[in-house]
Amino acid sequence: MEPENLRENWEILGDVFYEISEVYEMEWADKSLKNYKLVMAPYGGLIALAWDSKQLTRGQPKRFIEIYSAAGVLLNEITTQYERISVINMGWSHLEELVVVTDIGSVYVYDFDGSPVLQISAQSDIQDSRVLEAKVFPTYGSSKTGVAVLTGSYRFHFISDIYEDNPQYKLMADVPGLDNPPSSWAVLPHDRTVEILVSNNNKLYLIDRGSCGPKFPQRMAQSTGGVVEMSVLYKTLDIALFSENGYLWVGSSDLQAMYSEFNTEVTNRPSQMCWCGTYDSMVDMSAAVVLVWEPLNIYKVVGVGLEAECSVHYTDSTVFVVHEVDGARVISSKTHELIRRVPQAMVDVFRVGSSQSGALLYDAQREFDNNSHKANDYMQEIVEREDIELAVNQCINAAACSTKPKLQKALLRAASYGKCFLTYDAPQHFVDMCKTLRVLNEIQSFRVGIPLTYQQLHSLTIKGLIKRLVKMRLYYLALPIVEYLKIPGGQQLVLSHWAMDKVKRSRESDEAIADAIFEKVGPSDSISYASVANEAKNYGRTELAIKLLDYEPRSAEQVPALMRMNRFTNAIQKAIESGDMDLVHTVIVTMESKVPPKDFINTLKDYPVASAWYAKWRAMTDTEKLRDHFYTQDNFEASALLSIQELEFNGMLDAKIKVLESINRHYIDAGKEFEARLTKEQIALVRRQMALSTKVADIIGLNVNQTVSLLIQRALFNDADSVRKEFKMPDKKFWLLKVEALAQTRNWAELEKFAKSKKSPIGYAPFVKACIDNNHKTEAIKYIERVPKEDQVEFYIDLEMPEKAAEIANSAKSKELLDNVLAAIGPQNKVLYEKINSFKNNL
Amino acid sequence: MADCPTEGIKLSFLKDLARGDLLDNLKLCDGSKAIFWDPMLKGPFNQIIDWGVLKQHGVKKMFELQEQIPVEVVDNKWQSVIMLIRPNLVMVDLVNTALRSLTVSQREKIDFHIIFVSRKSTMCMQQLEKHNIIGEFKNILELELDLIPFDHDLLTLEYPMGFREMSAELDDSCLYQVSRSLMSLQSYFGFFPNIIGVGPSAAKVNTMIQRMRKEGAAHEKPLTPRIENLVLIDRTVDLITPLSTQLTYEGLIDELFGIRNNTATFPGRAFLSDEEQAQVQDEVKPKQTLLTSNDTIYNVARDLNFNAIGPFLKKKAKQISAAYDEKHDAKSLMELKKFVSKLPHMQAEKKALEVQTAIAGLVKKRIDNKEFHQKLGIEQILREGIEVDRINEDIEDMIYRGEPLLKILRLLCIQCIAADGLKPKIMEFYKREIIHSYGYHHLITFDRLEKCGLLFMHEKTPKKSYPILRSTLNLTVEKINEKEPTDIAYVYSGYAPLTVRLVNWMTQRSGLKYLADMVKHLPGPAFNDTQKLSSAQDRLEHTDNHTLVYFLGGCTYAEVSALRFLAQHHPNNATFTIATTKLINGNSLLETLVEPAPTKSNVPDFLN
Repeated sequence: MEPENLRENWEILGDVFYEISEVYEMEWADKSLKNYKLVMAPYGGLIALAWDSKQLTRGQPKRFIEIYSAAGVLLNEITTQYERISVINMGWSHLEELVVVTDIGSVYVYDFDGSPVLQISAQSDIQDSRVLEAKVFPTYGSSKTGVAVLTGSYRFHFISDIYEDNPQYKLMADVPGLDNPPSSWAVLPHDRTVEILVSNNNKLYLIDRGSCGPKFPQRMAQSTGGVVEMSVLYKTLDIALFSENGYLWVGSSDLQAMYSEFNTEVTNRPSQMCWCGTYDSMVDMSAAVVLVWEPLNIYKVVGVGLEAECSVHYTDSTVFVVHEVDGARVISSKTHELIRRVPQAMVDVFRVGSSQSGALLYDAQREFDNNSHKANDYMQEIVEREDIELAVNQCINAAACSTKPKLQKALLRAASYGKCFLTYDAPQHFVDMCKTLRVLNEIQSFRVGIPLTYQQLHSLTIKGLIKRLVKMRLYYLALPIVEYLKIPGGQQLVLSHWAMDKVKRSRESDEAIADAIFEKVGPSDSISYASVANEAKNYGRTELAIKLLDYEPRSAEQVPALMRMNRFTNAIQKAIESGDMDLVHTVIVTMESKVPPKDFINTLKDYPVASAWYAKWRAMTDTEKLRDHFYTQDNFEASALLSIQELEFNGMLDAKIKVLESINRHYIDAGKEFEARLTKEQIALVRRQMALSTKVADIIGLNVNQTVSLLIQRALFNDADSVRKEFKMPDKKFWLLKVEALAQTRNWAELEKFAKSKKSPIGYAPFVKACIDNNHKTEAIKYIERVPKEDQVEFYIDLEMPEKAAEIANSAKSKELLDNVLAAIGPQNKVLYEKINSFKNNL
Repeated sequence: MADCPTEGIKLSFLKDLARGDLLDNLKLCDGSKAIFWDPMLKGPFNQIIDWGVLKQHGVKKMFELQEQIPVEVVDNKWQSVIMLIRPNLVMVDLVNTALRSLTVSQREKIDFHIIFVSRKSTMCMQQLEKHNIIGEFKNILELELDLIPFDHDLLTLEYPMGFREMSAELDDSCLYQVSRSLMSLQSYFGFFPNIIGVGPSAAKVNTMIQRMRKEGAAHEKPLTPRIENLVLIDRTVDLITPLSTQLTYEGLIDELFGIRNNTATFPGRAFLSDEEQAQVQDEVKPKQTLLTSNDTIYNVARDLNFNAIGPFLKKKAKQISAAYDEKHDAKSLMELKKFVSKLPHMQAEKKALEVQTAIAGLVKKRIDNKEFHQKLGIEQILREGIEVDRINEDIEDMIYRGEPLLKILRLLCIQCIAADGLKPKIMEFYKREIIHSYGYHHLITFDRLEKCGLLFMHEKTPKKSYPILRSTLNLTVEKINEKEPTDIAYVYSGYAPLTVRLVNWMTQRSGLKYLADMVKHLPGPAFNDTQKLSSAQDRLEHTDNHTLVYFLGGCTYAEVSALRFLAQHHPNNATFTIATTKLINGNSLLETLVEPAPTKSNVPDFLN
């Protein structure tokens, strides 16, 4: 592209260049804007058109607002069911929703597709006195949206945040002497308060909720007269004031600093006044103010700055001017144009006679394409300046600033040519810019209609752009962009909005929707199926919600969501599948308190894991509930075991028998005959102990063996015998018990008698052992003859009678036994030691 | 046996991580601190952090949580009191008691903190609410601690009730913790390409980790897998092994003295020299000994059969004295210098040898008796399936004599499993006799044993699983060389743990096919899964064939030794890291199942 062509649209205001370039030819083709109000969202957003309220009368179509893309493509229409609705003003909220203020102070908020989002009604005093004028403004650094109105009783009211719960108009202080509409007013939103600057009777007043004070703009010439129009730049809180004598005063909104004052030489009140770009005295004085005089068919662009100048432009129909961070858009019935300061990078490369390295590089590349040796000369110059990197960056940045793909390409080619001369490789900036420009060109296309400049994108941020695309349901565009630019979390954002939207709006079957979502999103945890399901539930599609929850891989999300939908059976199943017993616990506890007992019982019947956990938990916290649980689950065996666990060692015996009888019944019900029989025996034992307790008080609570032992210890041999018979105690066991018990109570006479009563089924070793254990040597020796020789040897060793042990071992002719004795005595006992050795030798 | 080489799989960093986490949590608690420990956590944390380090971080005093709060607690003043517990209701109730007695006695305000290991549970939070103390806590924190390295190749969750929960109570809490621990291992070592498992719990864990992977798929880091196989073994698949008496040195120490957190306590007198023993008349304080691979003597001795310990210790003693004798041969100054530089090491080794000799002596004293040998004899014939279908007279006599119930139950359960279930008459005989001798409440014990598959009735069409496995997997081995073993069966002097035999086949290429035939004889399902690795996680050339063997429900020291032996004799040069929910032996396993006797009062002591 030839720089000359490019510069045709440039004009100089003071020492900076401005250009006006056409963005779109409007699709709405010659639609007369004369009787409309127009508001456009920032960053090349949507356009809303409303019939001017004065034109709206009875019998008008119910359709009262149209929404267009920035290219004038009709997207949606907003209709109303009210017979008469009179729009005073509109604006776009920070969420890019349309805010409409009516003559009775009602605020309607619509989504871009015309669906109502919310509605605020004004207090009756506002309704009664009617709203004359209204303004929609951003507050809290564009994180909230407010509305201010002027009523027929000449009072100001405002809402600081229309999205808060129960927003209400608040009254501002009165302006003295205001008995007519003020000549102009503006809202100055601060972090916590809202002020309004009002111009009345050649005077300026600043009001807030409690006070009103006069204001005098710094250095404003006395001759300028009363202010008839104001425009606030909300972002920086700068203000432009137009006075009746045609002067434009620009300064800070506190009126303490003046940036410039300019005589427009037009004294008519402008029909519109709008900031163009953003003023920042610290960095670069780039802003201008655009003033439109519709009756005169002109608009002027007035530069802000010490040496302000202005340019004049002619229009042939109604135009609307809209502010942007780096310029202003002019919307007419035919075109959408952008006025902006020519970015410095472009000026560097394309200014007439620019000697910037970027300009040289651009030229060099073009000469190179023409096979001209001049390319070499230019490059030589840049190399000598050691400016290659600067030149490359200037070309890249200029490409970024350009909105024309052809020019972008030419500049990037130049940059790429210059890169060949770099001695190192730093491709990132270049690659990033190419990618960003591809995205910008794509969304700028007529089809999409979002005409962002690079500076605007930078201010909006990619995330902000994605949010907007998602808001406008341009998922097909948003998804490739986040993938292409590799935006962290971007895919998640787009897909989850898409899924939520699908759930909300699709009329397909639950199955089809769930399948469609799963097909796109897959078994991933990148979006939360639980939150999509929650949305579905909010729209009354519970079945769909449950289907969606099936895809949620995180049980900790899935299970609580199912519970919120009262799907406890699904919840318990999923909780069990997860293996997370904490989730199982949560579901059970919630169920117990929320569902009818019958359902709770049945669910536990169906899910043994849940039932087991419930039992375990109740065993620790509430045994009554546990007992009920086993009862309702017909778990007779568990009931029996619970009762066994609760049996006290020495409680009240009657009560104990009662419990045992119930255990017996439980076991019979459970079909556990053997355990029932054992329980019967236990009852018999307790009865027996009751009877015996008069003689032996401490017999209570003992088991069968202990009972027999104790009776023998107390020498109640007949009782012991009878217990033994009743409980069919094996002979061997009885003998062992008796020997032990007699030895313990040192009842040696009875022990001997017992030994002689009949042939011992346990042999006589236990006799010897019991005597030894109870330290009675002589008693032990009484029985020792009757045990096998090898045992005798051992016992004699235990009895510390090694000689005898050696003798027996010798008589048994056992080398092994002799060795055992040797090992036991050790070499200290020399006599015996040698004796045993001689025994061994004689074997 | 020498070190089990585990190239590249270093585990000690897990300790560093847990220590870091604990200290980070302590930093949230201001000023001087007192810690109240869950008694089950003190041991594990001892493996991780020194008292000295805690002191440096402002910890003035530590207590175990118990019903009675010691008086000194009430008298002291700390700015912060930290309760460090596992999330269970008993502990929460103890926290409540402690907190109340502290708030009553202390006039100055204390900050209370609670740290749940590894995570807080809804149940506990509700209980805190019920006690109305949830507001008292300045911080309610979680400390992720799952697998604790007990040695260079050994990790344990130290989850005491795991076996009971997973086998008898349908409670997946322990398995969930296992799964989380595996996920965290995978985050360090990459996804396990192969997962092989046997038993229902193994299948559950496999499902859970696949599920957890899905839950976190978006945050998956591509890592080259460094552990080739994960082998999950449900303890219920092989219960004979833990029921049998371990006969390795370490196993026996555990059976007789109990190893807890790598530490065992012995009678102190045994560690004195003969002269000292003669001099000291008073009671000698019990000696606590740390038993880890850092001790060069123990590191080898632990895995030996006890019958090989005597010769080994003798050989070592000779080596050490020979090393000392080098002093006399050292002629030149250089040689002497070399000798002196070796001295500290020699002295340490000599000391270690003395300690191990004393311990070996104690073990020998305990096993050199009729009862012990009789018990081993019974175990052996039962495992070999001899006369398992009738009442074993020796067991019967033991019941009559009222020998320790755990000893009887161990043998009884071995018989039951070896017999593929007991016939009703035999079962009823044993049960009745045990109830008569040990109390009616053991009906509860039997119920639990049955739920765990430790005790069961013979079915009409028996699966014959143990007899078949015994012959096909060669579980009982005759003629074992205990001193120069050639087979893992040395760890039980003639019985090879089924688990380790399975691992052997699972880690051989052709083994899985062979195993497939056997699967139907194993209790519970068996599976062999492969995990998809993302392309970035391409497998590295597998020079090392490393396997993580995870025992669900506990493993014995003998099994650990057998796996170490296996690694050294493995045809595919497999190496192993062993993980378990708890280190167990037959007693500690059954202790979790045996119902305690009803509380007694006024019962003469001699009846107990």
